[in-house]
Amino acid sequence: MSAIKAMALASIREATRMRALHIVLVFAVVAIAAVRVFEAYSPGEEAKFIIDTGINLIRLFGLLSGLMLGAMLIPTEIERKTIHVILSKPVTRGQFLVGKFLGASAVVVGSALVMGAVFLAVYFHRFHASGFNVDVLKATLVVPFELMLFMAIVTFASTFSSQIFVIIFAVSAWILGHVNDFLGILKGSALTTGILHVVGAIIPHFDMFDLTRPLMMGDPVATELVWKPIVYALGWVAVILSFGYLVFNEREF
Amino acid sequence: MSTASAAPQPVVTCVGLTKTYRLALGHELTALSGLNLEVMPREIFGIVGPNGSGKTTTLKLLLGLIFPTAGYCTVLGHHPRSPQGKESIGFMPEGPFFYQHLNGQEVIEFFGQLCGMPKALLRERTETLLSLVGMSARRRVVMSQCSKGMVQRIGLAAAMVNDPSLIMMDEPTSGLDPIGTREIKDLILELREQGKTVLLCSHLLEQVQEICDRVAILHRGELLRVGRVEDILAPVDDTEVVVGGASAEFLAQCKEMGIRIDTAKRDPTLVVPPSVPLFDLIQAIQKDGARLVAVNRFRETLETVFLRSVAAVGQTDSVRGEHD
Ligand SMILES: Nc1ncnc2c1ncn2[C@@H]1O[C@H](COP(=O)(O)OP(=O)(O)O)[C@@H](O)[C@H]1O
Ligand SMILES: [Mg+2]
Repeated sequence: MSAIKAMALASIREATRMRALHIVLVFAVVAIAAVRVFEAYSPGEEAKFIIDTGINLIRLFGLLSGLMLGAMLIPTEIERKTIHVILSKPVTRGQFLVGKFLGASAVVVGSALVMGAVFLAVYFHRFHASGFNVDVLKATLVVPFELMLFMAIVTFASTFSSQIFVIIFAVSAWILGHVNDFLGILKGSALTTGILHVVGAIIPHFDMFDLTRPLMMGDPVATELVWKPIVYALGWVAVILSFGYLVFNEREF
Repeated sequence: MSTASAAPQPVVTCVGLTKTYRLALGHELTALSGLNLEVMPREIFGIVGPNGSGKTTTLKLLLGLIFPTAGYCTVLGHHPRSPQGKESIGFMPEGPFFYQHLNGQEVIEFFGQLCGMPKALLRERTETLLSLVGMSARRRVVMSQCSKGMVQRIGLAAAMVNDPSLIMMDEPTSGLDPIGTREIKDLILELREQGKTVLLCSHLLEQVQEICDRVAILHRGELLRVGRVEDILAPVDDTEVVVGGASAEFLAQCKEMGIRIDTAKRDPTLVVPPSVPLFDLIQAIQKDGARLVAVNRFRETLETVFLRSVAAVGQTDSVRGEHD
């Protein structure tokens, strides 16, 4: 347990001192705060505009910081031979992997929470007259879980590949995960349908985490739409990390 | 448990240890073939050989970072991947490079936390190690601003944070200036004083022969020789005579007398066996009109032993080739 904690804490400390990450976070906060400036471009739809843009900015910048952290997650450790020293201590490869994942996720989730707080402040400051819309809070709440799932994919990719490939792999999975539902309804030959089904099964449905759509429609956001993606994310994280462990355990450095 | 504790158990055992790397296009490279080796407690054991001879491969196998193709090894009686065995191991890789944004003290503490050391003990241990490796005053320098020598020192401290009984080092002096090299050597000798076992790899044969109790000479993954440094560097009664401006005839004459001639240096060096009277040789030099530059007692080095061993292997290879 202490090994996982030490791994995670060192990753957090290393990440929070990355200048590039500070820049991304500052930029994100400024961008989210600036949403107010642009609401004038969608007259009558200000609330929708702020929700849509704000939440998607959180996801986008969360993704970006996740990729930056993920690329240095394991490939850099191998390149720098840090992993040789770490694994020469009484630390199992599983502990190493989980520690790295937790550390990187904590940083990404932490920045998402900061961005989320700024967004909620902007939103409620603008619309405090119409009362507290708890659905906006719900939609913001699932974003960190989406990012956590994304970090599991990044961690998985980094168990067997180089920095560039980690980025390509994780981004592809994320994009495919978003069009997943759409892939399912595509009709084609038996073969393409089969392939689409397989893709649909092995790639998490990232669109589950997008609660801006019901919000846009003005529908109330059911509690189910919140806890289901959260449970879904945690389940997938466990599955992906288990596969990552299987790969990582057999890897040579 | 047993009363027969007279024979100490080896700290490291390799039996038929073999590693074949799979390369692109179906090629293979056997980096280590059938290594049999035992490292005993409290010795400084050096694995020496030129670049690519399989030294790092051996260490990685012992640490469970890579897996043997054939044979096996044990470290402190455990399988290389067993966490129990690792409780008493320290490892310093070649040219280590730690988290850029952490300072030296944080790096040492991080490795201590990995080992589950309690806070108070770790703080005390970090102090001791920082002063041992001479980094007390520079503990707050972040790794990205440390010189190679400073990173090496922190690397050694990190390797020793859990007070291991076996310390493995890969090219501990690589990239260090003469002073840094001297300090690392002194540190290694001090580790032996503390009763530790040190297993180190180096291609710098001269540096190793000075501090190692025993060495294994590797060449292209094969063990050429293993033994005590004194035994490998058998005392020789030869004398080295350095001459300047000697004629070709004179050198040819020397060869006939059974004198080896080393022309690698600026002036030819004659390695004179005891059978040749030195006084006569010096007179001959004078007669030839050559200059006598120096006369020294011949000292064998690991380097010369290595070159001879490799030459011997090469010879048997070519002999075998002729028979085929
Ligand atoms: N991961 C690897 N894949 C393929 N070949 C390797 C790998 N690691 C080392 N080698 C090769 O194995 C041989 C021995 O390497 P190594 O053990 O690093 O030598 P040394 O440490 O003695 O310089 C070299 O020829 C090297 O190129
Ligand atoms: Mg090497």
